[in-house]
Amino acid sequence: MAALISGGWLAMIGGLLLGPSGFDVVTRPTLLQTFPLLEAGMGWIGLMVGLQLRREVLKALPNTLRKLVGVDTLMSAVVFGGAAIGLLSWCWRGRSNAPVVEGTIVLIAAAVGWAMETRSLRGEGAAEERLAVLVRAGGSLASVVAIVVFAIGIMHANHPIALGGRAWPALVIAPAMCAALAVFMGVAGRYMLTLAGKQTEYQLAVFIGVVAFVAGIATELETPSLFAALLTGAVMANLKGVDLRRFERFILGAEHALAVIFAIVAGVLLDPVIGWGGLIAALSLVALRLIGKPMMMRGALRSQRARHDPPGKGELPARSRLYAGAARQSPIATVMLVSLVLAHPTEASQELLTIVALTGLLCEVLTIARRTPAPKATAPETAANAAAPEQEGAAS
Amino acid sequence: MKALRIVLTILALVGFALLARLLTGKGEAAPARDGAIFHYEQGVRETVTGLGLMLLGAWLTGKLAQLAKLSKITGYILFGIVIGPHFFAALNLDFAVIGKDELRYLKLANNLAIALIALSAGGEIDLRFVRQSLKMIGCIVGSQVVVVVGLVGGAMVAVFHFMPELGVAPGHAIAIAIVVAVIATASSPAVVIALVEEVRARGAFTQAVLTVTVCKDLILVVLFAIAMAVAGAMLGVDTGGEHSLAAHLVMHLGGSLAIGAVFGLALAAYVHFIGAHLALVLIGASFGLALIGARLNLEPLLAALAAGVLMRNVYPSQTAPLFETVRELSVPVYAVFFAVAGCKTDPVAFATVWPAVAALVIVRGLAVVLGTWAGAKVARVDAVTQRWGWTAFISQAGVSLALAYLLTHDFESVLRPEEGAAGPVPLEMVLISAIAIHELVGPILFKVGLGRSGDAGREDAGPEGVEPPSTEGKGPGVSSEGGSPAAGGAKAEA
Repeated sequence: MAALISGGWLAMIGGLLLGPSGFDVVTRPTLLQTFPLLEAGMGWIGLMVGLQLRREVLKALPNTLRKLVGVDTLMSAVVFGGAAIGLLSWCWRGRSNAPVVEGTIVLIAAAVGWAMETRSLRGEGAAEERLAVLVRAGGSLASVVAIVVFAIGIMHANHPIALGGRAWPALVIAPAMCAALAVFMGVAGRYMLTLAGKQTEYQLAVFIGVVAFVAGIATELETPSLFAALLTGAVMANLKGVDLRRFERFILGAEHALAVIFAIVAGVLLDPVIGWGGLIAALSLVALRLIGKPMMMRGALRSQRARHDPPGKGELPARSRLYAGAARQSPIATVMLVSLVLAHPTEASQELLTIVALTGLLCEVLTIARRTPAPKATAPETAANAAAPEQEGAAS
Repeated sequence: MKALRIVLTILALVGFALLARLLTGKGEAAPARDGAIFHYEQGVRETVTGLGLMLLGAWLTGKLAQLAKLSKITGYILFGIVIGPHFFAALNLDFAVIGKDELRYLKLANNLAIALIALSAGGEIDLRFVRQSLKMIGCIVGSQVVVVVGLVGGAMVAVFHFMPELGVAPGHAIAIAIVVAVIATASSPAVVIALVEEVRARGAFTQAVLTVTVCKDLILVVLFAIAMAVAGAMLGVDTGGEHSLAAHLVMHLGGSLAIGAVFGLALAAYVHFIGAHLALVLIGASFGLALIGARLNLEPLLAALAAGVLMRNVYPSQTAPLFETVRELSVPVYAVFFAVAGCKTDPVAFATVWPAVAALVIVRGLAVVLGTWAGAKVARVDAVTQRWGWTAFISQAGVSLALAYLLTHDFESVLRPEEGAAGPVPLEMVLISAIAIHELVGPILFKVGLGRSGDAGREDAGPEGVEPPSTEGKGPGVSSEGGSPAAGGAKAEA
């Protein structure tokens, strides 16, 4: 139950009941009229993720983690991408290729990573703790990759942008503009924070202004606000001069509330009547996640340990429910799909949102409900073992 | 150097927004895809940039205004005027940073601001103080209403007579003049509260003008409804729907107060039992109030005021953190609210109707000075309030704009000189231009008033910095809690 609540699934079901598919208290047009605020909320999430990308944090990431996320991204692209293109071509037969390609990239982005929540799965012991840190840090890092993949999918499908009398592909101009925006807002944001000083109300004004401005420019460029805000956050985090700790604390403080808001919005926007095609697609993705993701994580971590980690230092449990936890979908997936529906409110987007929401919910329920053997203590709890999580804790 | 940096940052923000718009076709709506379940109207997507630009630009211009020893609010409004849809049009340039379409959708942010401002204003009303100061409030409000309605009403009848191009027929002049005069009695609680917070003012003068402003707003809503109904009857225009005036008033006011009470209780319970994410909850509740108000045809301003009064007076200690959050949200909210108000200012319209605007501004100014002084004198309020109290009542903003809109909207059939003509009616241009001048001049005057009263900066001095009220026994009997109940009162209770 804790995972369902923290994962926002109950809020999503609440949204479904409130929305047009339920009691129609909140209609879709009404919700879409709040577009500016929802886009600003997307910017908030993007900035929140981007601010974590400090140079020193990225340098401190262990190789194990990088490889784990790399393997996961590759697997998502090949396995989930392959499945998605097949399923969407079949579901949307008779339609042009463009939505299938866009849908496939979006489903790949949704497949990347896993839920960062580990409390509902974790056992005891330092080895389990070390694995839990890897799961959390890996999930966070993978969400950055997911946002980038998602942005590529959206920009790829956009109309060309006219510049200097020529039409340029959106995939060339939009990222360049986003990068320029990130640098500009990073520098300007830092300056404005200096002007704001330590007064909370001024910091709030700067923060909301930066988030809305970045999200707004991204929206006008038909680029996901998540992506532009992520870049801006990364730039701000890596510029020297201003202490961002208060700023970050404030942003992170709203994390749970924002998750609940977006879960409700997702519930209102999704269409539960997706037909057999959508249902089969969702069930196939669930099966792939439940089988493929734990295998991938176990395999990636085992090979890394054999190659790099000295014996006894980075001991990971051979069996743990946390490996199965990789099957749980990242919460950023739902946010990305809400972003897609807001950007392009079409039946196809709505269907993709429903598929992803259903996949996420089923993976959550099945992972938590599945009984796995109790974790075994794999090695004596050495001082080195106990120290190991600290390094990754810092990374996470 | 600091000013130059701020100006460069503002220019860069505006430049970036324009560049993005240039690349994507000047804000034209993107073609809809196949199978669309919803189409965005023109301007919706650009509103996000508008919101960010408005907030950052207005905040930075407020900083510039501070450097020039002006009020921040003046800066917010000036920024809105410059980036609004009318400024560059007045210079014959086909160019606007914030277009009319975007302005329409920024209404959402405006509704949020009105609810938050009203909540904050309600939180400033200490019913014990109101009970103690009933005579002072009654005298100042009554005197202002009588003098302003009398002088402005008379002046407007004369203006309508000498300026037939305003489209008010001689037979309609008195009825319309009454409503215009009632609108002229309105002042802006938002400006008063924002300036009190900006200069950290505290004391007898501050408490007196705050309470009078907020109480006058409550009375004004009733007065306006009556004036509209009377004018409607005189002009033969139906403004109350199928209900009688009394029934309409009871439903409108009673419903707003009831909804406000429910919201107040719910918010107080939330703060008491949960107390997390107050900023988001407050924003959500304000939106809810605005939406419910629109759906049930209630007055969100009145409802939020009622909620604020209830929380402040019934659950003071439990809701203190909530009012602290309202204060923290005040800077972004005021920046957007006043910048949006500035955007609506139309210099071209002003150029065509300036004699009427000048008459309205001058007569209203004199009437406010005279009305406030006379009321304060009768109530035997202290000399400072008698002398400088009027400075708080010059400014006008959101409520006045809303009332002006209601007047010209409901009586459009009798106010438009040529039937079927497009654009705003001439009287609306007069009212909006006058309100814009009051918006700009009001904060400057009130800042002077706060400075001269000696209340400015006392909030930072702490409770020991509050001197006993300098009334003659019957004036603003400020309690030991100090001037600003939302902050000072809560602190005292804590």
